[in-house]
Parts: sequence; C-alpha cells; structure tokens
Amino acid sequence: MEALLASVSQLVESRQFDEVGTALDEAELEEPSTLSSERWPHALHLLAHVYAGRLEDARFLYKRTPENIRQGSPELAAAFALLQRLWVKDYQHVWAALQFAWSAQVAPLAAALADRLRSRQLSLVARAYANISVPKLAALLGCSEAEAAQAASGQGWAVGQDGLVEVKPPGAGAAASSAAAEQALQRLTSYVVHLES
Amino acid sequence: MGTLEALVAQITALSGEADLGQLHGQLKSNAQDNVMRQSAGGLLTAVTSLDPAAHSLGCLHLLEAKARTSNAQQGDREFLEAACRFLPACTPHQVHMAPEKFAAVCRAVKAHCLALGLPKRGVAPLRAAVAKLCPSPDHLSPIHADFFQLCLLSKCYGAAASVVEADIFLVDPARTACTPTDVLLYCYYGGLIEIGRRRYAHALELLLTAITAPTLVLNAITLACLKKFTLVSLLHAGAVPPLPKHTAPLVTRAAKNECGAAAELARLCSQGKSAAELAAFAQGKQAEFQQDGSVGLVKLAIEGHAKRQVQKLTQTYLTLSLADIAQQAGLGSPQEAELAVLRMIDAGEVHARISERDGMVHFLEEDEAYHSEATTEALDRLIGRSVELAAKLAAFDMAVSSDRAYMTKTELRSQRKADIDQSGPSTEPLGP
Repeated sequence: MEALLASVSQLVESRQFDEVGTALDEAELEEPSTLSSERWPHALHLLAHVYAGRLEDARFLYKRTPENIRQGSPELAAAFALLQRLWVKDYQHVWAALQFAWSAQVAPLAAALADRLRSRQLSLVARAYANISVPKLAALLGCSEAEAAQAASGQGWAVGQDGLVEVKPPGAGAAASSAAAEQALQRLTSYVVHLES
Repeated sequence: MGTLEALVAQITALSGEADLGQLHGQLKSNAQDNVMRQSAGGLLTAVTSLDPAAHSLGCLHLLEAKARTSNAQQGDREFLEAACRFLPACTPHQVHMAPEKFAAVCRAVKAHCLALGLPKRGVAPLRAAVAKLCPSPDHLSPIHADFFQLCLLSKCYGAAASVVEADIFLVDPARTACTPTDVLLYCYYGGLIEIGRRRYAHALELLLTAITAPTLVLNAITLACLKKFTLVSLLHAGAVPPLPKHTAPLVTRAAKNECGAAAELARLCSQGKSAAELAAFAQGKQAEFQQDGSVGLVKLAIEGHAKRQVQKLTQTYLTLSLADIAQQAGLGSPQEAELAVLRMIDAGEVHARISERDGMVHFLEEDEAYHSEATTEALDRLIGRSVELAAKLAAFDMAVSSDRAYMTKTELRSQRKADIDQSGPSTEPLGP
C-alpha cells in the first residue's frame, strides 16, 4: 500500500492526473479487498476518473465501494455528489459541488478538474449560443460576472448594446502544418494509385 | 503404477523445448490421469513446487485435474489462489498445446470465484488468460465470456475495456476450444458491459451478432439479446430497426412472439405516444421488465423521449422559439427547453445555436468543418482500417475457397447439376 500511495502521489505531483485513475484501478485488481481499507484514496480515485472523462468508471467505482466506507468518508460523499451533478449535466450546480474543503491529497486534482470543466464549458457556450447574457455565462462558468466578462473578452467576444455577449462560433482548427499536410497528401496519393491500378 | 512424485519429476525433466510433445503425450495418458485423480490431495502442493513459467504444461494438467475433483459449488480458496498465480505467469506456447484444459481451468476459476463470492479476484487473472490463450487479439476464446461475467458481477466494467473494444474476427475451435455457446455468451455479456459503459453503438453491434448467428433452435441467450437489443435501440436511436435479412427465420418470429413487453414499448414509441403514457405502460409491465433485469434501460428509453422530440423538430424547422420547443417536446418551461437543448448540443446530438436576445433556437446543419487537420487524421485512420479489413476478408475468402469440406460440397453440387443437364430437360421450356 505504501509503495502504491507513493507512486500515486508522485503522479499527482507531476500533474499526470489522467493516469491516476488507471493506476489505482490496476492496483485494486491486484488486491481485490483493498477498497474496504480506510487508507485507500477513495475520493482521489473517483475524481481521477471524473477528470479523465470516464464518468461511467467513476460511477461503477462508487457502486463497488463498501457501504461502511461510503458512510465514513465525507470527502468521498462530496466527490460522489459532484459526479452526480456532472452525470445529469446540471451545469450550474457543478460549481457548488466543487466547493469542498478537499484534503491536501485531492486538492491539486480538484483544482485541475475545475480548470478543465471551465474550459469545457466555455467551448460549449461557443458552440451552443449566438448571444448570451453575462449572468448566465457566469452561472455556466461558475464564476463572478466580472470574471465571466473577462473570459468573454479573452475569447474575443464583444458585449452588444443591450448587454448581451455576442458569441463567435469556434473557428476552424489552426491550419495544418505544411509538413503534416504534405505527408497526408502523399498517403492519399498512394491510396488513389492503389485503387486505380 | 506411478506416483505423483514420479509425475512431478517427469514434468521437471521433460519441460525442455524439445521434449514438450512427449510430455504432452504422457500427461494425456490414462495411467497419469489415474495418478492425478488418486492423489488429488497432493496436487496443489505439486503445483507450488513447480515453476509456473517453465513448467506451464505440467502445471496446467495438474490444475485441471484438481479442478475436476474439487467441488465448485462450495468453492476452494486454495485452488483459486494457485490458479490465479498460474494464469498470469504461464508460458503461452506451452498452454497452446492443450487449449481445452486451459479453458477448463479458467472456467473453474470463474466458478470458484462465484461460489466464494469474490468475483473481483478472478478479473485480473482471467484478463491475463485471454491474452495468453489467444494467438492474436482477433481471436475469440471461451475465456472472454467468463471474464466479462466476472467484470459485470464485480462492477469492474473499466477492466474489460481493452478486451471488449478489440474486434473479434476469428473463431478457431482447434486453437482456443471455442463452442457456439461461448460465442453467444461473449456477445451477450460484452453487450451488457458496453451498455454499462454507455457505448451503445458497440453494444448494439455485439447484440446483433448474437441475434443473427445462424441457428436451427431458439436459445435463451439469443432471446435475452433480442430483448436488450430492442430496448437499447429505442434508447440510442429512438426506434427499433428491422432485423437484417440473414437472421434465422426462427429468431425473427421470436422477436414478435417472445419479447412481448419490449416490442410493445417499441410500438408505442413509434406511434408517438407521450412520455407519461409510456411510463404508465412500463409500470404495468414492471414485473416482466424486472425479470429481464432491464428496468433501468426502460427508464432511460422513456427519458430519451423528449430528446427525440427535439431531434424531430430539427428536421422540420430552421428556427423555433424556446417556448414552442417546450410545448412540442412536452417540457415544462422555456428555461427547461433551453437546458435540454444545451445538453443535447453538449452530447453532439443536435447542432443548434441559442440566441438569448429573442429566445430563439436556430437549428444548423452539421457544424463540422471538414477542412481541419482532425478530419484528415480521422479519414486517414478510417482508410487504414478499411485496408486492414479488406486484407482480412481476402485471407478469409481464400481460406474458405481452399477448404476441403467446402470444395467437396460445391463439387457435389456442380456434379449433380451436370447430371441433370445431361439427362435433358424433362419438359419443354415454356414460352419463347
């Protein structure tokens, strides 16, 4: 357990959050009864799956966690409440669920998760809205109106006369680097030659 | 009359590369089988004294003999631990010599896990076993289904990801000891795993494979697949597609007669009944759905109703107010409709832009710009995959057309045809 916890905290320190969930999953399979140990990083495990976008895995993890652990850990309960909000896509209450006094082990991951969710929300707004009021944008991003206005101007969105933010649709991805484009062209050519011969 | 000690000595002596064939012959013989059966108590000690990697074939036979004598109803912790140590460590080419025995040991591992109520114990060893027995990830083995079953029971759906995502092309009974039941169970349990992971398209593909498997008798697995298929189609696409033409007629008939509740729900959905009516119907059939273990799926299918209504609207309108959407999709208020549309955009289920100024939603064509780098990459990947598949198909076609059984059959048919032609048409052709 010590070795595992050390390697996991190393992953957290080096900010490789995507790998934390898988590493803990594997360790759990090696030692099946480990989930009933109170020293297992339950909340970290669950949030790591959420961070990697595997809500399903997070949900099943909670389902297989023994009842007494679920009752005994307020941090795990908070992580699960967050998962529930994300599961039903309750965009506005996600932020309240993120407000929790996370332990030192979990805090960096929770902060990174908040950043990731915020940028996801911003790109969702870019896709979904033609124009949006600042309060609503603030609610979706989980921040104050001033911060929301700042985020909007950061995207190059202007505020119209009636106080609504004019959202610009996301532009096409950056132009492919010429080397990659040439390579792709080369491959396509060989396919076509193959098909014609 | 040999003893177990002699047998172990023999295993140790003959586990060299050159002697494996001889050892295999020895171990299969009746005399050694009797030895193993008579000294069942000492088998596990013998296994521990051997090295699982160097003496894989010997260990395998000893474990399999132990599996036959131990009571799987009660579960044997010692056997389970010994087998779980053996499976990840064994040498593939040694266990390939006796695929039936290997599959039998894995099945016993599953049975003992279930009996002891420790499904999670077997997940990692069986995942290793799948990799050991299959010559390539394209192969199906009898272990697949057992592995999935343990994943389902222990709720470790994520652990099955790599195995369930691999596409299976080959079922080779000679090398992996697969039976038709194994194929069907692979599809069923694999489908359940994918449903749990919300990868519905792949789940449908797996279930459909089981449904369209050629058969002359109806079996419970196909029937269970049919029921899940109906509900998942409803949930995923909003309608149940007709079964493909190559489905066995028996199964097509069963789809009408045996899946009463699910088929009825599909019919009500296609008639455009409201969510409340659907829920009332599901309530009435509660017992039946509960028995199939699909209450959750039914609930999801009904919840998806409003979503399908919005999707339908996109086909009719270019611009629609949120109030109208709320009314037509049976949602409470414009705010609720806005949230529903936002969620659907998030999931990529519709393409639209909400304008808060006038409370309107503009439905768009697909907003994918096809001149991005990502598209090129995706296209490239698909072409590569198609080339790979074409090569597999060509190889398979070649294998079938040079297969002795197939050639004999076609030969006979063409001969018979030639005979009929020689004896001349019995009647004059009608018409010009």
